[in-house]
Amino acid sequence: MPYKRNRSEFEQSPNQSPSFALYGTALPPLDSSTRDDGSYVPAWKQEVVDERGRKRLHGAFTGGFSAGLYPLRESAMHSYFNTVGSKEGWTPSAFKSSRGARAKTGLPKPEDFMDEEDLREAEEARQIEMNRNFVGIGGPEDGRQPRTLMDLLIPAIEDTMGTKLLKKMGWKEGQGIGPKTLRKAKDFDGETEGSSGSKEFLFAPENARLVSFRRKDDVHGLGYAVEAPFGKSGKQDEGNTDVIGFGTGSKPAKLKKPTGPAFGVGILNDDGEDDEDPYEIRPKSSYNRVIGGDKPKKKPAARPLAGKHVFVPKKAATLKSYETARKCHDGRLPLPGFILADVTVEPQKPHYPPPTVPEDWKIPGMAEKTPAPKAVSTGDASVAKLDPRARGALLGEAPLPGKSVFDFLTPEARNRIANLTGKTDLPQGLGEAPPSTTRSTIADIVPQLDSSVALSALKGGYMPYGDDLEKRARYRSFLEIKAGLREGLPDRKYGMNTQDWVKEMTEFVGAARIFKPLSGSMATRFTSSASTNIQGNMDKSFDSDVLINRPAAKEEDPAEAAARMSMYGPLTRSVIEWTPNRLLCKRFNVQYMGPNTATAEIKSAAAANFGVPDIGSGGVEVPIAETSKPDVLQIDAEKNEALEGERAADEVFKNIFGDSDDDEDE
Amino acid sequence: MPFTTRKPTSILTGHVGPIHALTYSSGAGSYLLTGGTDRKIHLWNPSTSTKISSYSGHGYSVLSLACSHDNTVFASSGGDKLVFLWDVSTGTTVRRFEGHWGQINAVAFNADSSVLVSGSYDATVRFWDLKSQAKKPVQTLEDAKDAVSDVVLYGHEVLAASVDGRVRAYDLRMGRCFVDVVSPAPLTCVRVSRDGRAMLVSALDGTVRLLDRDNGGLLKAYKGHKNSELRVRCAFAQAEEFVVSGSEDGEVWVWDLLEGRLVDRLKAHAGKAVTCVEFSPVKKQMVTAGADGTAVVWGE
Repeated sequence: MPYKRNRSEFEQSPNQSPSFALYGTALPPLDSSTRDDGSYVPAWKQEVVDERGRKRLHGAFTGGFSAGLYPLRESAMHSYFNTVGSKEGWTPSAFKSSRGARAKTGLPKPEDFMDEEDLREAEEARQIEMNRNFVGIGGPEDGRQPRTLMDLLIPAIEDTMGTKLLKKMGWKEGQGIGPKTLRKAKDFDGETEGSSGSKEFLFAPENARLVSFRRKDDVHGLGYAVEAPFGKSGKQDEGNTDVIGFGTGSKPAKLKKPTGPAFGVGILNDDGEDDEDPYEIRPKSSYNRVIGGDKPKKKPAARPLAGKHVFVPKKAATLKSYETARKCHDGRLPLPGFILADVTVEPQKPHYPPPTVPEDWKIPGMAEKTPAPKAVSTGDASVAKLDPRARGALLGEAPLPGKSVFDFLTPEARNRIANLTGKTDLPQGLGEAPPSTTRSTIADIVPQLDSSVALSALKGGYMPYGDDLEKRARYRSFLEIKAGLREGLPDRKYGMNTQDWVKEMTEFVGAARIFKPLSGSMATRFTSSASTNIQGNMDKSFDSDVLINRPAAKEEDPAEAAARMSMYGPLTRSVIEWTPNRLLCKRFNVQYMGPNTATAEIKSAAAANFGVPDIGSGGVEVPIAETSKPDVLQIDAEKNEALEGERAADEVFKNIFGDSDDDEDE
Repeated sequence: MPFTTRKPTSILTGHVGPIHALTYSSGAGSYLLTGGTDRKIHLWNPSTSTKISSYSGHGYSVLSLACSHDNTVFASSGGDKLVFLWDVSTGTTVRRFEGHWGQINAVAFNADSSVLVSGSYDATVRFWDLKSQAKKPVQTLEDAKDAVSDVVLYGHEVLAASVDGRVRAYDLRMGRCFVDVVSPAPLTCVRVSRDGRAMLVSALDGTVRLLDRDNGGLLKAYKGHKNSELRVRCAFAQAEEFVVSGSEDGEVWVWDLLEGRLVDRLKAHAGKAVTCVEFSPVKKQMVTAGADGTAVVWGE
């Protein structure tokens, strides 16, 4: 009898189940056609799943190699059937502890729940965008919308001066304006907290909303908020804007409720004013059976057909009437016999002329103080002509300690003016020196550059910014202005704000300093080709400007001048410190001085002092005699202190040598 | 005391081109080394006017020669940017020092021949250690603003003449460098008197100057000869009683050191420039070398 059983025989045998006791009912196999007992299945019978556990034919449809057939290549023989998709299968390659990075592991990503389609869509939805800060060549400056002409015309947005001032005064965005108010703390819901009710704190005033009065030109009731047409929700508009409108200026958009899912406003987005069930089953007639274009409305649908009684559900009827008939502004249908006008009659915008100011009206309290009432009475134009001082006088302010032009005029000049104008009531000329006021104009923010530097950079210097000709033009104009060849302000790129402009000009200053032609000692070492041209053939390209490049004559060394005049001696001699190498000193049999002779001197001085310690200001002779006498050591030949002395405590050793290993073992 | 060393005793012919370097051997100065444009170095006995040996190894013209204190080795340098250290007896180079990047105008030994000093066109003076086998220089002096044309050692002092018109005296003991502006023209040669208190400097403005080394003052200026282009050397002569200098017109000029007056003009070298002048340290013997490729030994 052969030991080995037949396979079919083995499979038929009843006791093929493993030799362990079974409790409970075994689950039926997932697939009745396949065996689930872990027995050998030939490769061609094995199930192929992809890395996500789905049945796949190893990319048969996406062009894989082992599409269920025999592999074409030797390497493909080892396709990873029924494995985790790797050659190693379940074999752990290397144990990686997740102890240190627990949070990183096991966090499911959205991609884990996406199938291939989703992944593809996500891939398509991904957009590669330029970095916002990236300034590409030819691209928009800051990666935003492409510029329009309007953008170029409008200067860059900065904080308004008022905002800047407010911020300097301590105001923060979101706060109200005004002195801090003492009130109880509020929780986030805006309710005063009960627990700390007794305590009051200083708070910035609440940001009071600005009330803007808008002309009501619609027919909505007071307080009625119109739903925004698309995108914006009316509620948000109502809640978050700082402006409360009494009535709205927008056109009445809510004549018709959205009847179905519309773009922007979902059916569930409804504010729920009317208790409409969006999923209500409507009569079939309300369904739209026509693709493309609205269902042609039946004219008489507004009213039930006369003489024909049809059951109409109440809700449907109201809905229909909502749909078909336009209601009045109060929500009711128009009176029978009336129809709502299609064209809303625009009410005449009321125009009220400003009240005429009586001739003899005077500003109360100011009339007496105003010295020139005739100037005021001429009307608006003259009001605009008022200077700050006159305005201050009108308002009753104390005059600022300002100066008049006449304060700076000499009396002769003042008299000349008085003679010319014929006015004798001019103030006295005081002839003061003009104050050195620092004008804070835009010209002051232009950085300073020496005109000679600018000129030399302009004439002979290398022109940078070859990659940006526009910038080079700005650089050139900047240099021209700085060199005094041109008047005005340096060019400013359109849309460039002031800080960037100043930054660019500072950069120009640096460039001009760097790229100006060589001067001084450096230039004397080189001869520019231009100057050799001058010496040689007089080229036609010879430009008088090139002369600027010519280096100044080399300054003669005074020592050389002295040598030329035969004034040898101290004038021609100079001494420089020099440190010979240690090895060199050794070879020359010279004592090495060290890197610095000064320190060497100090060292020698210190060495000299070392033998005689500083005693102080007391007796000089006696202490020296004492110190010079060496202490005689008492040596006892019979006794060795080091050996026979008391042993130091263990702690001393411990402190010195630390804990020994023996201690640790114990 | 008149200048007696004015009779040409022999003419040493062996070089093909101009002779650039000339030196007596150390000690009694019984031998003579010459080097020239023909890249060869010849060893002569000036007394018998015989050529003892020839050393060839340079790839460029030889510009400077120096003998060690014991005459076992000598150093040579030239256009090939290398300092050669020769063994006198075998005639082979013991060492070659590499580091300068320009032609080396001058070499000199220190007193015990433990250090070799070289001055180069690259405006540096380098010290080479002969006791170790180090390849790099012990120290490099980079103070010169132009080529170093001559280097002289006196005890613990190193004097370097430069084309920038200055003589830099590096005092190792003091750790200081005394810079003396000698001339606005390039300097070609510097010599130190035996007591070390004066130095003789040739410049291309046609003047040989005697300077006080203590304070840099000018003691005497010797003029008249022609020296505006070539490196023409000068020397003390006859126990430092006279100053000798070559001239570009083929004459050897002799001045009285103290009075500064012209003593003698010796014609030699077929009217070609006299490049080198050396006076024997012990004897009344003088050797001049010229651009004609000959060296003339002068005696009484």
